[in-house]
Amino acid sequence: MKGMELLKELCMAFGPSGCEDNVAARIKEQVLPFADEVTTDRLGSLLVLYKGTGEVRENTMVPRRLMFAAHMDEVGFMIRSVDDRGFLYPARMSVGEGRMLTGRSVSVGNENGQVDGFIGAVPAHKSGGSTDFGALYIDIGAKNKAEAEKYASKGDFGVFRTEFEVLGGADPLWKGKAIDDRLGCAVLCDVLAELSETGYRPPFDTWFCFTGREEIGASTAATAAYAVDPDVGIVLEATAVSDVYGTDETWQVGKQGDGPLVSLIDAGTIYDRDLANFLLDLGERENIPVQSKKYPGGTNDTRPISKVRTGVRVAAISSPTRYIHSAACAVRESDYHSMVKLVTAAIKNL
Amino acid sequence: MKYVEILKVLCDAMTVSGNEQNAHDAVRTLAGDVFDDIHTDAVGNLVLFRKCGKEKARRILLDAHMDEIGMMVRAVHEGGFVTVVNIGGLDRQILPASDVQLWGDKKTIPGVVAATPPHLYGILGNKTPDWNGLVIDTGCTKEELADAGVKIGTPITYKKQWTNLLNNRITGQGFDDKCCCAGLLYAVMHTPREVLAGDVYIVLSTREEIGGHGADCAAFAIEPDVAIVTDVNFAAAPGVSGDESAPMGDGPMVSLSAVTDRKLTKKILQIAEEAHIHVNTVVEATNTGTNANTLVYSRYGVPAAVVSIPLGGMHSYNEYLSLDDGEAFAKLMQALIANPALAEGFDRTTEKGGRA
Repeated sequence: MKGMELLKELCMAFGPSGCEDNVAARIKEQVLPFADEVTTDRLGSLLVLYKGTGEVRENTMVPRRLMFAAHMDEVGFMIRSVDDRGFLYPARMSVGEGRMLTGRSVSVGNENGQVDGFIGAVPAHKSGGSTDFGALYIDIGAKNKAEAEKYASKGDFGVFRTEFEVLGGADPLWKGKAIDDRLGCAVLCDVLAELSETGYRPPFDTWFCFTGREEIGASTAATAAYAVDPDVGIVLEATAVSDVYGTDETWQVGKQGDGPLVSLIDAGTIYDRDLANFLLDLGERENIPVQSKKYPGGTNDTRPISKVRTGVRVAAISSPTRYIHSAACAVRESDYHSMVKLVTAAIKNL
Repeated sequence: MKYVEILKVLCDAMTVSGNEQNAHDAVRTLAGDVFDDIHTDAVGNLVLFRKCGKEKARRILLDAHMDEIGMMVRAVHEGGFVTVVNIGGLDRQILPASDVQLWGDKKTIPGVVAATPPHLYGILGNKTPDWNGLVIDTGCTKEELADAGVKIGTPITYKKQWTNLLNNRITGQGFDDKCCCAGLLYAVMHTPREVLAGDVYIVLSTREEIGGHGADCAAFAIEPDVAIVTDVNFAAAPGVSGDESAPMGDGPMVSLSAVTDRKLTKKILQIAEEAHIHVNTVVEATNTGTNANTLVYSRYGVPAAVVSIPLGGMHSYNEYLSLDDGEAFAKLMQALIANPALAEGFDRTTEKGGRA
């Protein structure tokens, strides 16, 4: 499985922060045939080794090890209580505003199984109608607490339940839940498969790391980086852009169809400028669309990775993504393929 | 045909107010030859008429509205973006990041309502745009949209979905008011002509969501002795008071209101009790929020009652229905139209005064 089919497969998996095992299982199945070694660490990260030739080089940013990271978790919520009537109440885990959750289809449960439900709010028809997050509840159709708890209890999780769809025909949008950051995971799987199938071995060892808990701010990327001890860490992400009709171009962050975004600075990280320039130049040289990110918003796994052990040079390559953290994120097909190409070229040129 | 099968057929049709005729062929097909006459009137109501076969029969009007809330294309822009206006009481606050469908003349196109991500609130603000600023992203080029027949005026709905939850409950779109349409069709299709309490007119009415214009015209044409207006009501849920709602799965609801006829309402409650169908009453003192509000003032006046089905998520991305309630509603309707007393006792009476 590759490209859109793979992304779809990964997006449909149930994997809110702290409950990523189902996603890890699907990724493991993908990478095993192409990897030299696959480690599942004690926090649930998947560390996948593709060995290099071991050739000793001078004047390189990667004398020993290159690490890639993409996070497996998606935004969602945790069940904080269940009432006598069988209604479940959510605690927020990085999902958007309550108004963007009202009425939405969700899956509720844990890694062992989920049940379908929907999010209710105080109807707008009624005085005091509210879509504040605190006013939301989840209804799975249960008649009382005991019945509800057969399916989901306090401490279990929920995520959006949205179909993965292709919108448009010419360079279509791929739309679905959890694209942040199953997209990064899918790109890494594709890159590994391509390296392995073509038999190319870089001089250095390459670690493809699939991490968890990114969406709650304290990611398992830190422990993955500790284990790998890389020279360079590159995070693959889906990042927010707003290149839609009506938004002033000044504030659009990046443009879909113009390739992945390379970050220079954001709310969590000052990126290694040599590395960022290398990626931007590489795109130009190899004719791969790439753009620098034009707004320093958001953070990602580079923040924990950059300060592991004695410090790591970091870069972020992100797909320009619309409507991120919602039930319906959308990325552009051509940007996905540009990202696979850029990452592959980076491995061959670092 | 089962209640749920009728409901599914109705829900699959796109019937944003003004497009109700989209469902008419499907209704005609499923109704078969049960009715003596089925016609579409000048304002798009589908009127299904079944005679009881008796002389001087009473006329019973059963109303449920066929239209659903939605939107309409206001303009098509470069990059496959579309701006819209609402049709009916759509809450724009909850639209961003919704899956929608644009019902082009040639092809139905999926789309997403654009949403500002929290990461960009700092520059774009944390608020839902007004109707003027709401944008739908189709991922298409302008040419692709033109080829699909998407243009100014194209209707838009939330993406049509159907999910089974626990306890015979479902989520989907357009249950307001297709759950009642389905119940009325089921009831008349399953009641032998001989036991009908009068000639029955099912009015699958238009434009309820924009003010109830359709049902008024149908009532004028039919001049019924009694009318039962059927619509959805609020299911009990967190944040909804017990007074103004009824629990899901606990049966249909009957409105107590100054708008409706007390005698008819009482009769309905009595017939429900005799038929062992559990109903809940709900007070809607001055406004039922249904077609009854205006229908009762047709011609010389129409005694009317409101019977409803509790619904969750009304007008939101998903509506939420208990099929048990829908089936109980259909049974109640069967019991009502088969009760000979239903339409009796509502005649205008004129007496000569002492000066005559």
